Amino acid sequence: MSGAVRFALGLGLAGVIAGVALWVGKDPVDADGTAGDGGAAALTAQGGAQPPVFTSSRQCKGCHAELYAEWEASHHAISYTNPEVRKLSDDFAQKECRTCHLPVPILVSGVGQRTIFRQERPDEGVDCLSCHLDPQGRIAGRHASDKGCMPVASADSVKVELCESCHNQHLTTDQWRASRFAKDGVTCNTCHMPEVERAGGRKGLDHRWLGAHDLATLKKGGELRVERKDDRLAVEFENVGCGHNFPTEERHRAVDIVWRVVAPDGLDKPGAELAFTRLYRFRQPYRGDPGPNTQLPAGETWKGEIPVPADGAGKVLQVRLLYKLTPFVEDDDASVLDERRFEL
Amino acid sequence: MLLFLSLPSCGREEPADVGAGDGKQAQAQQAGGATSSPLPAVGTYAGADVLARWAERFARVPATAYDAPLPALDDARRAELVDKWATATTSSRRMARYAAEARDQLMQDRPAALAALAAFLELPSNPPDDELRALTMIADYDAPAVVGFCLRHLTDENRLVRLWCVRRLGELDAPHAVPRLLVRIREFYEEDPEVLAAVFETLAIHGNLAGLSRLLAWVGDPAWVERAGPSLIRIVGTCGTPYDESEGWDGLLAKARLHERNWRETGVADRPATAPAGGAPAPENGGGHEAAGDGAPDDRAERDYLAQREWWLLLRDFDEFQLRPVDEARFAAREGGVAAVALLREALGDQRVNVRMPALEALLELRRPGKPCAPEVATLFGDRLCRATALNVYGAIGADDALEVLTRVVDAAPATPATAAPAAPGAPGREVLIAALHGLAELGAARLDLVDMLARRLAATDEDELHAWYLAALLASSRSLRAGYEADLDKMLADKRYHEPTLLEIRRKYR
Repeated sequence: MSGAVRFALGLGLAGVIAGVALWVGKDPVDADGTAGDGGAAALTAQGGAQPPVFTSSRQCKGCHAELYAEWEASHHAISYTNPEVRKLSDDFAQKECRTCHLPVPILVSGVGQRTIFRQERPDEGVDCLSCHLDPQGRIAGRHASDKGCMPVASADSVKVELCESCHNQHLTTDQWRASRFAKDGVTCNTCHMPEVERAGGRKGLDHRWLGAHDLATLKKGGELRVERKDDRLAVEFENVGCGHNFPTEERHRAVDIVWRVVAPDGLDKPGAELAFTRLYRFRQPYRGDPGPNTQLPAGETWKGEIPVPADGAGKVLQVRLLYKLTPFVEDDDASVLDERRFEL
Repeated sequence: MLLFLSLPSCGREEPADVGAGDGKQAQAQQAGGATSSPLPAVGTYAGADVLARWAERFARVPATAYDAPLPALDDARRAELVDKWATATTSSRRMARYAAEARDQLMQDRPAALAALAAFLELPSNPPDDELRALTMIADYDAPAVVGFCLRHLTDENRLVRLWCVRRLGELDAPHAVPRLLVRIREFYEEDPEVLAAVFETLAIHGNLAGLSRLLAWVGDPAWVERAGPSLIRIVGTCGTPYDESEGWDGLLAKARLHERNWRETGVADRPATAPAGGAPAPENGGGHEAAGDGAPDDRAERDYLAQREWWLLLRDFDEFQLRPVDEARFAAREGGVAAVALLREALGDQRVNVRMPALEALLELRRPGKPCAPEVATLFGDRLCRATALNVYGAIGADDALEVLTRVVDAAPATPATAAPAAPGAPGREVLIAALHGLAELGAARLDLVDMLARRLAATDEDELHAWYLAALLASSRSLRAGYEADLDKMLADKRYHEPTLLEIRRKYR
C-alpha cells in the first residue's frame, strides 16, 4: 500500500470517526432550539428498535417540514403567546383560559375530557404533541409506521372528541351535534383540516385549521340575501356552511349586518366618516352582560328589514356583512364578508 | 420520605419517579414513619368518589336554613304581593294607613312576601328609596331567610340592593356567606367601589382578609382612596386593633399591612377573642360576634355545617366541564384561608382528575396555609396526571420534607428529560423536573448544598427552558450569588431566549 493510499485511508477513517463523534454528540434539539436535521437525526439515532423520546414539537420539523410550517402559521401555535389572547385573558391571570391554551397532551389527559394545564414549553402552545403524544409517549396518528417517529395508529387522533376537550368550552361541538352536519358525518376535520397535497404528491390533512382568522373560510359560513321590496329591503342571513353556530367559539366574536345610505362617490368612504347603522348583531354576550345569545345555529335563517328612505333618490343603500374578532372592533376594521348595493 | 424515594423505579430514566403509595402510606411518611409495602406503579392512582360523599354529607338542609327554596307563586298571587310591596313602601302621607295595612299583610306570609320582593325589586319604575324601604322591612324577618335573600341578591342589578345585602350579611351571624362573598371580589365581578369595599369589610367581619391587599392597593389611586380609608379603619377595628387618629394615615396602613401579611402566612385573620359583629372595638364585657342575630342558628355545629355546605356548593363545580365555575370555585378556595382547607384535603382524594387538579391549583396559591394538605399532596406523587403539579404544590405549601423530596427529584432527573407523557418509559420527565424546580423556587430554602447542586445542573444544561427554571430555583435559594443569577436572567430576557412572560414572572416572583 503506497503512502498516498495509506494517507487517503487514514484521512477517510479519521473523517468517519470525527463524523460519528459529531453525530453522537449532537443534542436532539439544536442549541437554537430548532430540531432541524439534528432533531431528525436524533429521532433516527434513538429510534431503531426503540421509539424516540420527545422533548419538543420542534423535533417534528426535521421530517415534517411542510406540515410543521402549516402549524407554525396557525393560531394553535401562538395560543399561549398571542398578544391579543394575553390581553383578553389579562395575561392569563384568568386561569381558566390556560388549560386550553397550553394543554397537557389531550390523549394523555383524556379525549373528550377537560384539558389540564401544561407546565412546560409555553412558547409551543397547542403543538404537535398536544394532539399526537399518547400516554405511552408514542406519537399517535392516522397511520402506523416503524420509521422516523414510529407512530402508532389511533382513531382518537382524528375524533371530534379530541377537538371537544377545548372547543366545547364555548359549546361548539354541542352545537355541531345538534346540527345536520353531525348526522351527515361532516366532522371538524372535514372543514377545518381538509386534505391537502404536499411536496412529492404526499397527501395529508391541513394543519392550519382555517376558521375565524381566514376570510375565505368565513365567507363560506353564511349567505346574505337582500331583496328590494317597495319601500324596504328584505334581508335574510342563513348559516349555510358552518356545522355550528355562526359565529361560534369565544364570546368575543360578532357578526354584524350594517347599512347606510350614501351618494355614489361615498361608497368607499370609511364608516368613521359616513357611519353605518347596525341592523343586527349575531353574538353570544359575555357572562353577566344583558341580552340573549343571538348566534345563528347551523342551517337556520335570520330575517330582517331595512327601510328605504323616501328622500334617497340618486343615492345608494349599502349593506355589509361584517365579522369582528371582538365586539369592540370598529366597522372599518372588521372583515367584510359580503356587500350589496341598491341604487335608490 | 427518603426511603420511599429510593425505592426502585419502574422504567428507564425513571429516577425522578416519586410515586407514592396510598394515602395512609403517604401520611405515615409525612409523619416521619416508614413502610415496606411496595409502591403502586405509576398511573395506578385510584381515588374515592368524594363528590358523592359530599353530596350525601351535605344533603341535610334544616327546614329553617337560609337557602330553603322560596315558595313558587302563581302570577296572580305574585302580582297581588308586588302591589302590596308598592303600597307598603310608599312615602305618600295620604297612603300611610294603606301602607301600614300592606306591611301587616306582608308580615303574615313572610316566605311568600320574600318571593314577591324579588319581583318588586325588578320593577324598573321603582324609586330607589322605596326599594331601600322594602329591604329595611325585611331586616326584621327571620335571620336565615334574610341571609338567603341577601346571598341570592349579591348580583342584583341595583347597586343599592347589592350594598344593602352585603352590609346585612356583615351584621348577621352568617359565616357561611364567605364563599359567595369571595366570588364577588374576583376581578371585574363587582365594579361598584362602594359595594366592593363593603364586601371586603363583611369578609373581615367573618374572619377573612382576602380583600385587604386590594383595598391597600387602592390607596395609591386618588379616585379610590376616599373609599379605602374608612373601610381600612373599620377592618383594622374588626381585627382588634382600633385605629386612633393620632396614628395618622401611615399608622393605619402599617396596621393593615401587618394584618394582611399575617393573613397570607397563616390563612387566619387576627381577631380579638370576642370580636363584635360590625367591626367596632370589642366591649369589655365581650359578646358581639358570638351573638346570634334574630332567629339565627345559635348552635356552632349547625353554623359550621352550613359554612362547610357553602364551600361544598362551590367546590363541587370542580368537576364542571365549563371552566368558568371551576375557576370561581378555585378562586374562592384559594382566598378562603384555612376555612377551605378541610374540603380541599378531601378533594385531593377524588377519583376524577378534574377535581384533584383544581384543588391542587387552589393550594398552589393558598401556599403556606395549605400545609395541612401535605399528606394528601404526597399521595398524588403516584398520580401520573397530577404528579407535576403536586410537586410544585409541595414546595408552595412548605411541606416539612419538601426540600428533601424536590431536591431528590431534580438531582436524579436526566439532563434532557422527555416531554410530558406521564405513563411513558422515561416518565415523569421534563414537566416533573420543571415542576420540582418551580416547587423549590416557591419553597425558597436557603441551603448551600441545594445551591451547589442547582448550579451544577444549570451549567450542564443547554436548554433555555430548563435554564430559566434552574435560575428561578437559584434566585429563591441563593443569597450570596443572587446578583450573578439576576444578570443571567436579565440576559435571557434581553436575548429573547425562552417565553418572555414566563421569564418576567420568574423575575417578579423570585428576584
